[in-house]
Amino acid sequence: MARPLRKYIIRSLLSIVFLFLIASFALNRINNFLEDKKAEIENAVSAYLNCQVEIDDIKYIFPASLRINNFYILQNNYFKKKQVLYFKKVKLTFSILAVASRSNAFISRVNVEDASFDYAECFSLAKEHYADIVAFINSLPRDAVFSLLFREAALTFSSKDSCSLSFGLKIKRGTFFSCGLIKIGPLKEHGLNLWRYNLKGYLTSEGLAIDNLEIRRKNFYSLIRGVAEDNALRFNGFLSLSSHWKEITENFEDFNIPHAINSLIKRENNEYIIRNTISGLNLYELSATVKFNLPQIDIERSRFILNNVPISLQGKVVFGPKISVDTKVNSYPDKSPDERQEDPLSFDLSIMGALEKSALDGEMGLNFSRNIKNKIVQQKLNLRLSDAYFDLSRPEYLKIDAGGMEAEYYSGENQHKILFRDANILFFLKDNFLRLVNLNCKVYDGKLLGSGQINLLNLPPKCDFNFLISNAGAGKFKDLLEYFSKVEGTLESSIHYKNYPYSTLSGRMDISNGYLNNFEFFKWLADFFALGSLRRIDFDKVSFDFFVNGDAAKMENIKLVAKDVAAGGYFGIYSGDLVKSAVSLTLSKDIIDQSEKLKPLIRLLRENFTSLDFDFQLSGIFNAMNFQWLKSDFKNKIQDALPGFIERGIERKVEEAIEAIGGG
Amino acid sequence: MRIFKIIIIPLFIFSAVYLYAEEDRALYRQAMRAVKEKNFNAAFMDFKIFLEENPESKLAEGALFALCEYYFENSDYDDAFYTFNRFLKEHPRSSARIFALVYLSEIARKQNNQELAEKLEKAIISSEQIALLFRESKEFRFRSPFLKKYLAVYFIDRVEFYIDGTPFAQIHY
Repeated sequence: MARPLRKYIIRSLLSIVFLFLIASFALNRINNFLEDKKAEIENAVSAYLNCQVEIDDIKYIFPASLRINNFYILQNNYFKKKQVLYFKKVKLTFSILAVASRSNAFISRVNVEDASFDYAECFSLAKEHYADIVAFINSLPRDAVFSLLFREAALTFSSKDSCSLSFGLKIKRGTFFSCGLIKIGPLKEHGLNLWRYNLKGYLTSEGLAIDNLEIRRKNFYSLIRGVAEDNALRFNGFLSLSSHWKEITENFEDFNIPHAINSLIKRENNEYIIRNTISGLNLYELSATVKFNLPQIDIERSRFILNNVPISLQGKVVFGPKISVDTKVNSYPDKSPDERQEDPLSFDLSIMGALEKSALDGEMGLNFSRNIKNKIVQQKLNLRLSDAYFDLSRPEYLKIDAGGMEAEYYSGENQHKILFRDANILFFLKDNFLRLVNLNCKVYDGKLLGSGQINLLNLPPKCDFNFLISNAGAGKFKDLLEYFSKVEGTLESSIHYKNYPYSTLSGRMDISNGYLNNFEFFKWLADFFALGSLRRIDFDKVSFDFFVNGDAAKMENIKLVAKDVAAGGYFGIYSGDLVKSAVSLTLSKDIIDQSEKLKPLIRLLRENFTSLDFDFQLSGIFNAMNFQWLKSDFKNKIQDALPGFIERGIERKVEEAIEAIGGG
Repeated sequence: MRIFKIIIIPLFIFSAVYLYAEEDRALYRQAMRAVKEKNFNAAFMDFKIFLEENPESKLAEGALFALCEYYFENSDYDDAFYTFNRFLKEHPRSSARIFALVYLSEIARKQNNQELAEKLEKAIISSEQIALLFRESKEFRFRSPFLKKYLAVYFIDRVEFYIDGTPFAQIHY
């Protein structure tokens, strides 16, 4: 009994060994065959894809798989080969059942590990071979299942920026399902840069229909459906940036594909219901057409409602040697120009920029209206950035180093403009909506430090900034405030800017060791008292608080310290160029002795003095100010010394002089 | 004969012009008499006819202001608005200019046209540039064909208007 059993075992083992040897031999022969045919395979695939394909190694794996190591697709240009796509390991699995039943081998599964893509080139390749891809999918037997699985593929956008992608794709009977993870940059705390998606759809004769594209991130949820045909993607849906997105999704459970396509074709707005009103950014009734004319992507007819404000967006993005963006965003696009002008929520935003070799040159323009004291005042903000480098390597902040920055702001007809150089800006990104900003840069010949916040929950965003300026030439700021065109000296200043409830610029300014040249008030005094030396006043120090908004430009707590002149008071220009001002002026004897008009008055006093105080009040229209000499000891003494008819005579002459100055 | 021509012809022409002017003044005087008799409707008609017949007359300025006053007094603000504007256009250097402006400003307020009212106030403020050295204010006076006494008092930060001693308007700046 034992001998036949042993004999049976030995025979079985020998058979196994024999089979193993035959299998090994067969495998070896197949692999040798594949090795011999590698060049032919490369050429065939290269010819098919119309670009160069290189394979390091191709192996057969029992029972029905092929493994390719180091698969490259290269794009030849004039100078060098550019790697478009690289797969470290690819495993192609054939369907044994299909082979057995139909004698027709087809790939049922593709597994790729450690891949890297160049985004723009791959997109171009996919677009070129789109028909082939559709033909391949359509060639699959009706009952066949095709799967594609990528693990940790690196998607490269530029020399610095890339993202990691893992995704699966399953195609069955013309329908497809895909899900995946996209990680942009290093993994951030709380998964803020980890995006997930689910995609369901099916192929049509001219493209594909997306039943359901879900994109999620922590606190972000988006649901889109649409069709991609003739290089154009038409879609609608919504997105929400909040912590309560789960509440929104219920309305999409009973989703009807034909209805979705019909509504897309007819451009109907779907009645998406946001069940819970949530604090955050809610974008719904999204309806858009995006055309892919690579390397250019055109966004056409994009409409959506953002936090209850209807918005239209159009523009283009070009992924060439330089990536350029040109977009326009308008709120309330269906309102008439007059209605939009009256509506403080109406705005026009334009963004243009070009990224080349990691350096960005860009321009942003924002036009909107503000209701200031029951008056609609047009506001305009222009920002220009040149030689800007963006550092996204740290998850908690965005760092921008810019060679040049220019900010221009119009409130009504008042224009304010400022230039910066060598700017370093840090945006802290931990909070979704509140961006804290730190800034240091050169401002003209001085230095500027700033900090502030931008609240993105509001449209336009609420901004609140504090700045410190040191060692800057005062005259250089003439475009920011007109007063500076007449002042020179070393400027130190603290500035506060906020744009809500309306734009306000306020702060304090100290200017030392400079001069006032034809400063309006002193120019007026110089003409009035025939004191030519007041046209230019060399001072030790000038300081004042300032406040500028759409209604007024004010200087308060003015203090001027100079050798022959001292002044204090306030001066403000209000809506309609109306002036309110009170100035206390002290003039030295040396200055007064220069005035032919003051000399006779001084002689009346018959007193020795070293300086005289004049207190004035000014009011009326800026270009024709009224003037009153306020009561003081000096004035009382003059009045006591003058008979009434001489007072009236002087008064008349002064008026004639003022009229002459005003007329001049 | 030659001397006769030299003397008589100019005399004749002068007399004709004088008589014609006298006829103008007669109508104006008739209107003024009606004012004194407090027959304002008759005065209005006389001023109106005078103005129709003598638009270039030196007295046209007063007659036109009288029409403005009449319309305003009778709350006919549309006609008053039109006529005050005509007055400002035809007599930009009139001493009644600031009073016409303040009337227009009041009409704009009555018609809830705040923006126009502010514009007119600005025109009033900028119409006189004053320098107050020893006094506190400067006064402008005007007596209208309806015998109203107008007074504008410019202070450093406001203008006060009076009609027959009664405050009419005040503009602060």
